[in-house]
Amino acid sequence: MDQWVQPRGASPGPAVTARHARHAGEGTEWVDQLVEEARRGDVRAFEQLVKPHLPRLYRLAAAMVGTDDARDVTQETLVSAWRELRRLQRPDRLESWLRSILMNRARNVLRTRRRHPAVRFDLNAGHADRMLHEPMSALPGRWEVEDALTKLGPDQRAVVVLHYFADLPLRQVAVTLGVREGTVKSRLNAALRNLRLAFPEGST
Amino acid sequence: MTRDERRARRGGREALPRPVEEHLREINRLEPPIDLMDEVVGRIEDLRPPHRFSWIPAGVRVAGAAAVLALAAYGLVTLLPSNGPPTGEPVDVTPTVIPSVIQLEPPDIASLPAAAAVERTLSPAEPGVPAAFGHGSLWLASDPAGTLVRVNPATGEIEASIEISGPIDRPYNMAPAVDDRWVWVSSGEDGAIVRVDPESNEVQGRTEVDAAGYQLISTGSDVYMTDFDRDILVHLDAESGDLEHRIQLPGGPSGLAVTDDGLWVSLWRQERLLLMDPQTLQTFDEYEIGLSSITLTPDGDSLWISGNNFRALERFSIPERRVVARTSEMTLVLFRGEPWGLTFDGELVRLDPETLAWTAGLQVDMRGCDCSNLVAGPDRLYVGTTTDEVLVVAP
Repeated sequence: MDQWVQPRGASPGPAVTARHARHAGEGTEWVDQLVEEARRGDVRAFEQLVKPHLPRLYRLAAAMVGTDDARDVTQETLVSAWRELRRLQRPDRLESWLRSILMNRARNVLRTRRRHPAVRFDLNAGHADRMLHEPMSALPGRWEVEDALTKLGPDQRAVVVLHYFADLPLRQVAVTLGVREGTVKSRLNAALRNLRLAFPEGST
Repeated sequence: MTRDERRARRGGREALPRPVEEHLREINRLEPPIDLMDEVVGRIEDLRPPHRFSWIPAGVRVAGAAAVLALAAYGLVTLLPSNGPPTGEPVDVTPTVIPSVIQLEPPDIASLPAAAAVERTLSPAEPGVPAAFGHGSLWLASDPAGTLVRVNPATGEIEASIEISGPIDRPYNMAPAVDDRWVWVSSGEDGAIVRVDPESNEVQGRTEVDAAGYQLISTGSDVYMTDFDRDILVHLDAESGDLEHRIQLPGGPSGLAVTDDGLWVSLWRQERLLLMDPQTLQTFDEYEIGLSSITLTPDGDSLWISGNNFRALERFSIPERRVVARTSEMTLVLFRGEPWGLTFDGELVRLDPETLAWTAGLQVDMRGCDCSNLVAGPDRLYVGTTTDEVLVVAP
């Protein structure tokens, strides 16, 4: 596991340079400049632009699709962001934009995964090595919660994750998902109802 | 604890059940894999802009360049005056072309000719996922409700709502397939294959197969269904509805297709393609495809292999028995004989059937796009959205 997971609090890798430190302190102008450089094809500028958001994106992906697929979803989100960077209209809202891309991808993974989660139990099918490298594979009760979240379906899961995990207000959840706030509320109510059915109070 | 108390405890939000809260808290302690950013950068650096000869497979380009150099060298040697002895017979410089997979970098969709336009948006009164087109209607699957919804493709009006099973807690089970006579649906509740008469919109028969559908296809005379979870392949006689075979097929049977060569079944966990006798289900042959395939689509001499988990869309040449071209992952349909795909990013693209080059495109609103739901009608494409609407696209 250690070779895959960066220890919490570890110093940033060598790619994060003094430019990045300036990025943190100089507001949106520096971000604008990095966006421009990245749009001209500077991969390092793109790296500096998105690297500060990587941990949150990875965790959001893990909350949405589970840790088995979080790496792929995060990677595909960033590659997609690189390809679509010209569509970013507000560089100061980069994280919201990345989050929208990630949520879209994550929901599509959940849809196309269909009933693939059953694979995770098949240690003889060549997935055992991968499972051992996943940081949360040994967490007690993980599968029960994952199953309950899977049964919510992609849309209900998305509102739960954005509201409770990413701590977004309902209005911003609606913007991120491209739906009306009323839709978010009804999905959230349904999701909470379903989760309470899965985990009645006092049952755990 | 009352609802208000729960809400108050979370500062205005109703509390999640404790195991879910703890689970999310654990996730919040995760750090990304240390090599993840490097991988992303590597992927991006591999994205080369298309150049003049990018349509030529890499292997052919290398072989071609070698041949040109060899010919140039040969010409130089034979044309220049030489004081030495004759060099004998010319060396055979015919290049050996190693079979390779054509893989082109997808272009910026904005640079492509417009492929289509969204003509209108349908908002059916009952939610469902566009799953098939046939008998003049669009068929939506409402998997959790166990309902098959028949929709007028022009107006979005519900023509029929057909109960297949009771509500089930598995999100994908119905896998509808339409042939000239019937609409076939899997019922996850009782493990049956259900036959719906499109004339009356009524269930005309149920065959107990003790399996739940992942992909279901009908040739008109035979019906096949894979059950991914339980490694089962089912074969029915379409005429009688009788169960012909139900076999265990380890490896996660997923995609299905029938061609003149036989029945093709992809194994998701083993990244292989099986060719089977469509009547006996005996395996003739098997091929490594290196792709966790979820669906197969037959198209003349080709099989389109859709992968998932960020792999690719591939064209498998049946005569050559190998993958010959590849592009980004997308869901694929054949529309008027041409392959069309929809990517995770909501890019609806027309593909060159040989090279899989993107020849035209339309950017569908990303946030409203559910990329696993693209259905081809006779003159329109139908795209399901995350808000239970259906975009009608006119190519």
